[in-house]
Amino acid sequence: MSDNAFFGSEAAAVFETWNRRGFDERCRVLEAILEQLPVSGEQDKQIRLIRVLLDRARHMGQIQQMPGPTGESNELYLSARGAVLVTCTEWTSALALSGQVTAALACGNPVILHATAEVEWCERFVALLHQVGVPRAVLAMSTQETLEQLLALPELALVAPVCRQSELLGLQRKLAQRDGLLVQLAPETDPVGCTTLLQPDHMHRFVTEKTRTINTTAVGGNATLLELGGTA
Amino acid sequence: MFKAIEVLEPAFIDKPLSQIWQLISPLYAADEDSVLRALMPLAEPDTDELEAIESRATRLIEQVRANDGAIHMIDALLLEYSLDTREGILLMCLAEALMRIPDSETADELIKDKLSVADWKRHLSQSDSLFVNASTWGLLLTGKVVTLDENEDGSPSGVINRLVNRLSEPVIRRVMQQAMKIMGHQFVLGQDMNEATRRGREYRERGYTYSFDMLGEAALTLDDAQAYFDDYARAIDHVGTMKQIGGAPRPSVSIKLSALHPRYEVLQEQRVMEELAERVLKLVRRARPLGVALTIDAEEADRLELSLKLFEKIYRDDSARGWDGLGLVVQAYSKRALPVLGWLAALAREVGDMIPIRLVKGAYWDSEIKLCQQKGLSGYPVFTRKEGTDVSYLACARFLLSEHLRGLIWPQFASHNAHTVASIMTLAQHADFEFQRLHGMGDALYDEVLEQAGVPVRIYAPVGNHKDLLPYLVRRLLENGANSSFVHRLVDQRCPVADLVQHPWQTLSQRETLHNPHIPLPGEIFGAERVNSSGPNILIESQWQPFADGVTRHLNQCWQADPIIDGQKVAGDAAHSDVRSPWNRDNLVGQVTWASKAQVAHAIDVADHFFPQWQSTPVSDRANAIRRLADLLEENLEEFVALCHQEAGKTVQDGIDEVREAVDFCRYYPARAEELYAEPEAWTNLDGEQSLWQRQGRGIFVCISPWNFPLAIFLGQVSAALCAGNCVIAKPAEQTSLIAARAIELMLEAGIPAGAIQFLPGDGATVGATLTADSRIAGVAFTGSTETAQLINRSLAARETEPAVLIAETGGQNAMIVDSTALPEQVIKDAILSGFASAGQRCSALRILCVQEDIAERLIALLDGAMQELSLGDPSLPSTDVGPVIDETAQSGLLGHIERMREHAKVLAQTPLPEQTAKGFFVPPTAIEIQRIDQIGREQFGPIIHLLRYKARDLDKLIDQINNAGYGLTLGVHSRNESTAAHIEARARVGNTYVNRNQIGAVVGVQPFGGQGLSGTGPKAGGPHYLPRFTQLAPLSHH
Repeated sequence: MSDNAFFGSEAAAVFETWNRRGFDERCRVLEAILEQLPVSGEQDKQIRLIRVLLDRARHMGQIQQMPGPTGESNELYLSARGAVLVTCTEWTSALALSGQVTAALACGNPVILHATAEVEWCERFVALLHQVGVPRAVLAMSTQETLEQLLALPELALVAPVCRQSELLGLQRKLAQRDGLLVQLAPETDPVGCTTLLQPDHMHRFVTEKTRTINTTAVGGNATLLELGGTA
Repeated sequence: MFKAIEVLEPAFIDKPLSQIWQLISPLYAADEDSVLRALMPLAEPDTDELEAIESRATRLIEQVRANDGAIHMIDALLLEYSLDTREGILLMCLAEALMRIPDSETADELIKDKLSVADWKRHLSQSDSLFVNASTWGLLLTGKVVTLDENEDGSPSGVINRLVNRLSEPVIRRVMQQAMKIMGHQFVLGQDMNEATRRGREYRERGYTYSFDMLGEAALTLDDAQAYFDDYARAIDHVGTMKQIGGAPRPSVSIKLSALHPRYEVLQEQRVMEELAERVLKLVRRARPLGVALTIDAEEADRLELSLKLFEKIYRDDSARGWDGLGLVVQAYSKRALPVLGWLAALAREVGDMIPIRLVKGAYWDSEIKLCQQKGLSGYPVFTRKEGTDVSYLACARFLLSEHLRGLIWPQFASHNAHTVASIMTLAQHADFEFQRLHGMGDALYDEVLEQAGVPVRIYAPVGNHKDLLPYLVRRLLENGANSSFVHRLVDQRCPVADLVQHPWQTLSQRETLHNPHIPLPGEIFGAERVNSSGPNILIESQWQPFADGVTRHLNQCWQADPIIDGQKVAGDAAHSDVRSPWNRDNLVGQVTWASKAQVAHAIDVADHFFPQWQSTPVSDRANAIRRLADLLEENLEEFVALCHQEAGKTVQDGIDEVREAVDFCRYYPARAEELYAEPEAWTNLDGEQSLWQRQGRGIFVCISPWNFPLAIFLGQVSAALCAGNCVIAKPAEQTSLIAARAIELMLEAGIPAGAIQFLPGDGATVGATLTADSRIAGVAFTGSTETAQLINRSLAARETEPAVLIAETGGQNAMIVDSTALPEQVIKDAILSGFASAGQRCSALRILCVQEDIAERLIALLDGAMQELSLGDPSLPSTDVGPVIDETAQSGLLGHIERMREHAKVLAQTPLPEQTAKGFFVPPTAIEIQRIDQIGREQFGPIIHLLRYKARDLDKLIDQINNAGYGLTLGVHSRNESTAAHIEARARVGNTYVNRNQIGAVVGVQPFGGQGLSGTGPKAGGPHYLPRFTQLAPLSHH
């Protein structure tokens, strides 16, 4: 697949739509895979992991009302970070890869899965995700590109590898050589226990935060406050 | 100290004027309960008065109610297009915004928007109170989002259905035109003086007289001010020709000072006292020979003292001496109202000419409250309960009606409340006063008054174009909110008369507290969690003067910054010693020495050694130390503001805001840390076992901060890292090491252990690079350029160790999108502030003003005019709007950009550089029109706004262009169309979007700040997700 096939201009619109569908709706879509996960020998763990991640994602979809002066509304909410590359070395598992992909998708990101191990399982997993409603432009399996080619994609925002701790350094150095935005690294180095994926902080790496401030009194007029002025 | 009751003694106004003047300002934000306790005896009726007022008010109400014509007269708008119906509000809201939209495309979109959005309930009270509904209506008019409640009348989409069923589309437009006419007619006497005279004649024949007001708001440009001046002059000439009718007083003209000068502001006092005074005097010279009295309207509380100084100057001028026609408005909701009246009476006694004074309740109540909360002021200038204002009104009235004021003051009581009117009539022992009411309000009530009392009644009547109606209208609705409510209940036969005639003194006396407990003081808006940072109001003499004196004491101080390692100052490399002010290179601010590589290594050793101890320090100890730092910062505000002037070139308000933001960080992060560390975190692992995890610091955090927020961002990073349990090595920006050094001294004083904080001034090559290359560094918090962030990232990656955390906040290419529904004056105010405040040296600053082409010409003219009024120079002068840029490199880069842009783009406007800027690094605020965003190139970190026109139908392409620039920090949106604003906000890949306001000045814990893409990694500073990134989770146990 060429670079353009991952991030063409039409794909951008699909990503945007996916992101704007919101956490709840995406979780509903993703949840449908739980009944039909490809057999991996770790079915229970996989279901448990995906459930944990989707629960977290739902929680992350809540808009936080911030306190502040009267006459203004301030809200904080989360949005997709951008294109995510899920990759691995041989130190990996279908379990951890499914976790990284689920985390990235639930947060609204487009994902390229570059699996050099567990390839067959990953193909079935991706097919299943497409089947339950994840748009093809949002999730693609990379089969022909080298890791270097993928790491050079200008749209890349985050790399979510499953690998040994010691393998991260090389990856980080490659990413640091890029120009443009600072690509984030959100690794899982425990493919068996998925201890990082289970940590509440991990999924926050897949999002950015947005603050929305609205002057609700643009010229004057603040009915809520005026009502207070008349209260006992 | 002001003792309210003393004003009733005739001797009070014999005091020297200056002595009375001193009583005014300290009441600005005085304790509300104390102020009211002192006022209450003046408002308290004795038994006879109470009885007389009650029976008079009862009679008035009964007569109004018995008058069949009353309902027609009371408020045509409310009855014909009832504002307590959904349709009325919807249509009025549409009509208001539609008036100024030049293109039908956007107009149609707005119609669609207003007819299809949902959720009325949030905006419309269930209350029957007309006051609430009318206020809501005002709110909606101002661009607040209108939405439809699907269950509004029990049926889904009730309002849409009702509207759509009743009206087809072309009819909707006709109805709106009709609504417009009614609204205009209701509140505007005439579109010009001829029409006003014609319409007013009938009332004049019935005994009323008029005060004509020219519609229009604050002028932003000299041209607009001149146009308003001409309007006033014409109105005066016209009124001068009006014949006397009956025995009523001659009509007069009301003038708004903010319309007559583009900088009617306290900080521009010199210009106000010269230029504006001269303009008003010209009007006086015109009006006096024609026998047309002038009244100066009251505006915001911050301008009160200035307006009095200006009034005094004009009143004492030969042009006004011997004339009883120069009047003033005083607002009773102000805590300062009574001493102001005392001062005016004393002034009249001294000079000898009678002053007509219109006593109103006040029109800016809600914005006064909001502003104080934003500025973290010590209190409010206004009363927070309606009955508090009513009590103040009656106290003022008793004073104004005192026998010893006869001949000095001509009281003009403006109110639509029958009880207030009855009170005045009862209190008055003479007939030397008049009532005033607004055109379109209180007709029935005052018909009775006119008939019974023989007291003159003057109608305040706006004259002008209907499209200028909105701001006036909103103010009227708000000012008369309480009265409208009264008026509504007045005509509501179900409302017992007894409820309408309760004396406000009695109502207030029955309250548990005299202030309103539902409105927290500005310091308390964050509740129990933390105190809001405080600051003085530099527009108020009693707050400004001591603050300014304090700052001045520090201005000539010479500061010293050296590396501070393990709590000890150590001399570094002295080659970079002298620090000079960016606004004046002759000005030596202090000396700084830079850390050597060996000192950097030593600092890392110290931090590394201390980390286990700091990490095991209870979170509350860490948090409390940072909180103590916040208090120390506030105690040392004046010194830091002086440092901000001298080292960073910051203006007065910028300096205060800088310290306040630092204080907020130092209170917000401790609260977050305590929350984060409160309990171990628990979850079930994949084997179904419960596991417990504890937060802990990561190790040593390096904080590399920028010069543009040398205290706030510096301490924001450092306090977050420290609270979270990390040891910190702080590297300040080379340009602003002195401020940072002073902050570190306070940290040590606050009890932050010497091992926890190391301070290394120096450059990136020696200090920054050495730090980021060290494998003991666990994380870096950086704010600065995207390029430097890349360097840090590479340096960290080059180490043979685990990846470090890098939290980077970098640049922006921030846009503001303005569609044709926006209010141009508001847009320009916000654009000027967003683009030029702090000389444009904020990450959040406006760089690209995107304007819908249909309104571009008007906006460009306003922008140009407003830019000509900006003042550049010494940032320690309160009159300075724009200070210098930080250094020569910045200056030459920005000037070079302007020159390059001249080749391919059009320079629309540029503020002239005054001579006194020659010794500093100044860049004139500049507006440049571009055709495409990519013409700008890299971020220009200075006072340059690029203006880009767009077509309404190309809005999405514009958003794409902004997104494709790759940055994503702030975005401003100005639109009355809720759907448009929401669409832009959702599509724009930016961290902070601001709708219908400026786009700078994010407040800690209110507007978490930070961008995406090229603008930063997140998490947002001052937000709930920031601190966890400074920590890691360590397993406690498995069960």
